[in-house]
Amino acid sequence: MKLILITLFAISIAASGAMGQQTLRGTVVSAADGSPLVGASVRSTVRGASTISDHSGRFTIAVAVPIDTLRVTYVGYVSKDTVYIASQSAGEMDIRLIHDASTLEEVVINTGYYEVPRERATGSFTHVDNELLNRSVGPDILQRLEGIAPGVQFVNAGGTSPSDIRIRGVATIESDETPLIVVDNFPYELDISTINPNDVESITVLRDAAAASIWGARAGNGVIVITTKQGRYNQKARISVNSNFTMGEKPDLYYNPNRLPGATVMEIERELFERGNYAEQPQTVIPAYAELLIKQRDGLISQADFAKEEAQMRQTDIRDEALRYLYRGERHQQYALNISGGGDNYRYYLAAGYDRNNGILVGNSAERLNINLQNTFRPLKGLEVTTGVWYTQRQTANNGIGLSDLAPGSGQTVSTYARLADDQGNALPIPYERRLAYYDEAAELGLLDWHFRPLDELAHTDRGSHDTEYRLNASVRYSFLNSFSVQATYQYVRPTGTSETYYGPETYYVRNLVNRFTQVDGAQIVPYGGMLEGGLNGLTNIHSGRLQLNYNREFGLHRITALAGGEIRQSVGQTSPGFRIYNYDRDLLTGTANFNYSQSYPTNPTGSAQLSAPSVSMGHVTDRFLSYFGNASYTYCDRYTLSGSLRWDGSNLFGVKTNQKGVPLWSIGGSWEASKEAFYSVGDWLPYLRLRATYGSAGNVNKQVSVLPTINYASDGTTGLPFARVRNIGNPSLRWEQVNTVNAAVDFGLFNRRIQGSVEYYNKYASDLIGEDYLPPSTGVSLWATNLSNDINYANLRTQGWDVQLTGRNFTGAFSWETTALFSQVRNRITNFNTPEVSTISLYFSSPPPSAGQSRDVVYTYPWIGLDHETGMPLVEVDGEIGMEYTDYIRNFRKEDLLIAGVRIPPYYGSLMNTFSWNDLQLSFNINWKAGYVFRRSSITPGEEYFNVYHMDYFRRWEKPGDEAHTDVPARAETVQAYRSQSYMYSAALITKGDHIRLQDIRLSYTFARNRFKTLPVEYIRVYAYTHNLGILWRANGNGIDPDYQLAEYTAPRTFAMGMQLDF
Amino acid sequence: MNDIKTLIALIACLALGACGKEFLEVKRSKSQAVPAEISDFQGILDNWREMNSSSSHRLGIVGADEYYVADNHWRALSDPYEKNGYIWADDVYEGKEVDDWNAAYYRILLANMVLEGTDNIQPSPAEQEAWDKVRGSALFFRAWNHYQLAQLFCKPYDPATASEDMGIPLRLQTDVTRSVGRGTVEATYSQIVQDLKEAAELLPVESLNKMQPSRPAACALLARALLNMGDYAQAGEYAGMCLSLRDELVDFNRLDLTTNQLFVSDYGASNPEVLFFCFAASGTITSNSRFHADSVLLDMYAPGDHRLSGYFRDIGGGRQVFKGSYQGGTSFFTGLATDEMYLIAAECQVRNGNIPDARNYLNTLLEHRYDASLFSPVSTGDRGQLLRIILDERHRELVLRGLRWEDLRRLNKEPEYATSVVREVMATRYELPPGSPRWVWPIPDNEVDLADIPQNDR
Repeated sequence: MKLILITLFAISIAASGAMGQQTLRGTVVSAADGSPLVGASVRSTVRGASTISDHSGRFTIAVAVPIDTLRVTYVGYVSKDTVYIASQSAGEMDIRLIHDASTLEEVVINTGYYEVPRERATGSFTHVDNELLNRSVGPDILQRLEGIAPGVQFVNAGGTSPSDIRIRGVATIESDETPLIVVDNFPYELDISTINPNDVESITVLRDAAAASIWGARAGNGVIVITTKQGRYNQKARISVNSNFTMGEKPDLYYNPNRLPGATVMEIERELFERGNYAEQPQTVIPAYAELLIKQRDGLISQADFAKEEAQMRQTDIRDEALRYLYRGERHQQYALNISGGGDNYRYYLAAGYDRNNGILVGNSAERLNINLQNTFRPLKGLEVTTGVWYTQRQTANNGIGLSDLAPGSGQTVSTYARLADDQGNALPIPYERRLAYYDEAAELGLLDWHFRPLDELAHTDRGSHDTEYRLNASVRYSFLNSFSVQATYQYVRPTGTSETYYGPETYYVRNLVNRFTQVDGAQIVPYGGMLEGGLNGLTNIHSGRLQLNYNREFGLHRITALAGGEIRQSVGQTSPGFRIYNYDRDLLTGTANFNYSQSYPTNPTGSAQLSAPSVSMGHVTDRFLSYFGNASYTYCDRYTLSGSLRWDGSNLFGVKTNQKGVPLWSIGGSWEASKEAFYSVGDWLPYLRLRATYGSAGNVNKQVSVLPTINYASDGTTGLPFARVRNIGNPSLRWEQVNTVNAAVDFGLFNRRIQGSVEYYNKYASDLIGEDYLPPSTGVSLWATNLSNDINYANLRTQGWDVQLTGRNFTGAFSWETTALFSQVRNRITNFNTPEVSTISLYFSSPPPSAGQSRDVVYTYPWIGLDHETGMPLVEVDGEIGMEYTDYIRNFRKEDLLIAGVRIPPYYGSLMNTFSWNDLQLSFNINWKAGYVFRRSSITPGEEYFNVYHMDYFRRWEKPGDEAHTDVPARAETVQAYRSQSYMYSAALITKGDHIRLQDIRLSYTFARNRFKTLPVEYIRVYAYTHNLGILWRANGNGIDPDYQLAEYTAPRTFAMGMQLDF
Repeated sequence: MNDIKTLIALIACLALGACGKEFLEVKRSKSQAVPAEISDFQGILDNWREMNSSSSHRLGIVGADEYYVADNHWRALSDPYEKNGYIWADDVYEGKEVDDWNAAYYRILLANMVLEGTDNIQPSPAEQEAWDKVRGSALFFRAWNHYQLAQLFCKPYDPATASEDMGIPLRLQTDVTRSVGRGTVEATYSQIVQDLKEAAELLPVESLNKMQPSRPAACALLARALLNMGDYAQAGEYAGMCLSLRDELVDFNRLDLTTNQLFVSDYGASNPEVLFFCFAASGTITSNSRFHADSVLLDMYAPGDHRLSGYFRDIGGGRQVFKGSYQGGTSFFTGLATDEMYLIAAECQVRNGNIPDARNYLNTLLEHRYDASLFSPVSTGDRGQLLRIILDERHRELVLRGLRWEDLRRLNKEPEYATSVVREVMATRYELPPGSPRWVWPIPDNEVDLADIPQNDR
């Protein structure tokens, strides 16, 4: 790389001659809005020099004296010739280009290292501009990509974090599969939801090797580059205000089929009671109805009272109760203000944002404050200094109690007939952790009231977290020798977070602790009072630095851009232990933590225990990265482009020999704009045609693996001795995972460019994928050793697919109609798997182990024959005989005989967005679809209702001979037989098609612009309405299941937002 | 031209990989280490949550005759090993992995890591003591876990057939790619004895806590293993050696027998009988909400025996639950204690024909268990009668220690002491008679598949 640069130098020096010349500086801007045009070609026709405008539109060029003509060309704009006369023209020249409506929109892609006009990029980029990003409303930036970026797949609908996203499928099996997020040119591995979407200018998704390999070892899963807004030179101050309010509907708690009506649950509980199933002892929780039956049996309740309470239970439904007291419609307020502008040598951007969210659970809320200030100066010729400060503060309250929090114990669910408040609105107790009857006796036993009343918990708990983040950027850029610039950038990020919970003395949490440790003589080991618990404190300091040399030159028909540099990064994360203060007084800030933690006390109702000792767990993790990179592209005749990149990445991987700490990665690519060729003859209907192809490698870091054995130290409160957990047993032959990608693409414009689009094909070969070796447990490596990793390079994976994007301008003029259709196909297949195949069949259903020739997302099933005519039990085939020999069937089932039902991640997906405009009124809606995948729906197997497993399929069970004709749900049984259950639960009977079409959102906006409304005090006002999660238009399954919310308590409720944007 | 010089200097600096090397040398997490020091290896063994809890006794406890459960409770069991293990069914695991197996081999892996790691350390004289201790501890843990596995997954030791009976896979190296096969019962036990003899030499008499192995603990386990092998001479010798180092007993006359738990839960710190602290969770089938103490066992306690009220608690509904665990809670103590050593010493003496010494050992223990006013020392001079008393005493004393399963297996080879275990479940009678292949649990299915080793007969 060094050699190339020096050669480039020599060329540039040779080209810069010596006589009758003068250096002229200037700026190329768009005539429409004064925004700088990056990468415009500037040529002095007499002198014969040429250059390219830099990232702020500036250029410096040698011109002939006394007269010369500057020819400025820029894709998407009308070329312009400007005469330069030495005696008349000023030292600076502003050149304003007019947009050429007949050409493609010019898009400048920011990779985080360089900016390149899409026309000269060989790689595969998805660019999402500001307008498209702002189409949706909400506090999270990543969520806005859903359904608008080809090749970007949301595996969790409505996701807000990188782990919810797959870019062009997967390229790993067990390592990190999240895409890399880059914010303002540096990797951002913190919580992305701290970013205010109003500060974001654009997002570029880097999809193939040529695009992503500049990001090296972390780029194997794709890269999402977020660029924030900046001020512009010579632009008068602009103030923009945006405010909106979102309202959500209450969730549909009846969506979840895994519940039964209260009356049915009561019948089941009565049967269990009659069977003597309930252990009547204080420490075992018993359902409230069973308690009632026990009271009746023991004559502790009159028949009238029994009937009254029973009737009350029958007409209660916890979902109604929860909707009334625990859930609500979400509310979100967003306010954003920004001011930007600039003078000759100065530009700035100042923004503030405030978001407030009242969550779907009563008691949950979040607030976010963002402030950001960026300044750029040009103190000297060729020198540009930029500084930026971002500050984010977030505060959340997490007091909400959902249905799952009401479960009386692990593996149980709250009874459907549970009631949260009486007719007067007084909080009522529900069974929790121990027997209600035992809690009733608490006062007699000299204990505090021991009941758990959810509504009281809500009122007396105060749980919250607070985090702040500073981000400082500083950058110096110096341009010299016409074609060179050197840039040094430094970034410092400092996120901190704390969380705290206050439990009032009224809370179950406090009363339970006091009661458990109350001694026979009535002594309270834990004092009765409030409690304050602090969570783990986290503090991270991230320093990043980059030094980069750019070369940008045009001579004759040649254009070369190149860069080389190095980057260094350190992230130090520290965690310090939380605390617990007993008998805490909120007003006086007094409390105690002075206890004998090693003393074992008898506890109520049984056993003995120690008070849990304060945590002493500390953490200190240092991640270091060092990279060298280079990138060059050469364009000839604006038609042929060749590009290449090279990068070496190193990190302080632990337990690795030094020579294995780094990996070299590279890419090459080329493009050809066929429609510019003289021989091109189909320009009348296909006026634009460009072909691209790239190949290259990127990687994926797995920080958990180690070639040497490793241990983790911790302190032990019981022995007082330090101890070590073994994390790795070591594997000397580990190699880095690598992803090689081929990408081939066609960009085209049809029929006077009314239809534009691109078709891309890619093939990703991921090799040396790291995963758990499957070993006989006698080696010590088994499910038991959960902390132990025994990773090997065990598989190769191939992911291939298509991304198609088509945009049609169906109508233009006062009424316009534009349609954008996205289509993606993606499939992965494990091509090689070199550890023994897992023989435990049940694992193939819970988390399918990799298997050569299969997709990573494969769904396996047992075959399904149907239900037995006589008994209604599942029929299975053993040695050609159809019967009910479940043990033989499951025990001897071989992996090869499993059926492949399909894949769980949609291999086909896309969207269709239509935008209608009539003058200043605009309406758009986006329809998403997913196809070609399946999921395993839940159901109930014989006898499961006696083990707290409920499902509405209970009512569809086989009841009498003949029912097998119209149901697959087996008959009831006294008890669960695991093999019988599995033969239904994992069978093809429950495989459900996931295909569906969804109306994602609708947006309506009207813009009052000053050029139409002369009296308008502002530049323009835009009012908009936006509605999201409108629901499913069509689905392949007839079970009423939303495939995006298969096992959820409820689907994402519909939201409706109103907002206004003002620009001064 | 100055620009160019600066530029070249810059490029040169970036191209310099040398400064990068050091930059990347820093350790990622402060609490992380590549184990190299003696203290690192001691740290691995001091992880008592792995080494001393979930001991591999579950199957033995489930299968033995110290308890029974009611039909409704049996029917409500969801763990296959409990539900099927209770009736010694054909298929015990239903394809699930087996914790007793997995946990023991995990601990063996850790012990082997320590042994291999300390092989490479040449201790200085100042380090010799620590090196001896960590190696002795690792050998003890390896033997302890191999021994537990041998009680569950291979036939009881019989000198006549031990060199042919299939043993358990003996893992003596960390290399996970090695396959070791099943070997023989003889090889299994001789490895256990060899490891323990070496450990007894290396271990200190006193350890920092009861979860660390010590010399008395190594002697105690040797005594237990040798007794199991029928080598009464050596077993008696090691039990005596153990008692010469630690012989204290708890006097039940001084305990409050009415508490919900007889002992406190402090990892053996305050119980002088505990030689090595180890425990197994009570699981579901033997938890207090399902457990019925075996009525035969309850009837075996004579008047004045404090253990009946000390060990058992009536919780109504005709159920007696166990509350005498040395663990001090609802988990079962499965470690080593001096009371067992008195019983081993007594049994070995009587089997070797030394009646008076046998009586002495037995009476010393019983003195500490009986109400002083009602206690009359055992005085029989009849060998058979005394042995019978001692064996019954094991049954009464070592309740839910995981030892009953071993004793049943061992004694079933002697027709006069053999016992059948019988269960009545849902009106069906299940019997496990002496000599049945079901005294050996099946090897876990995934082990058989992946290691390609022969399964036990069933």
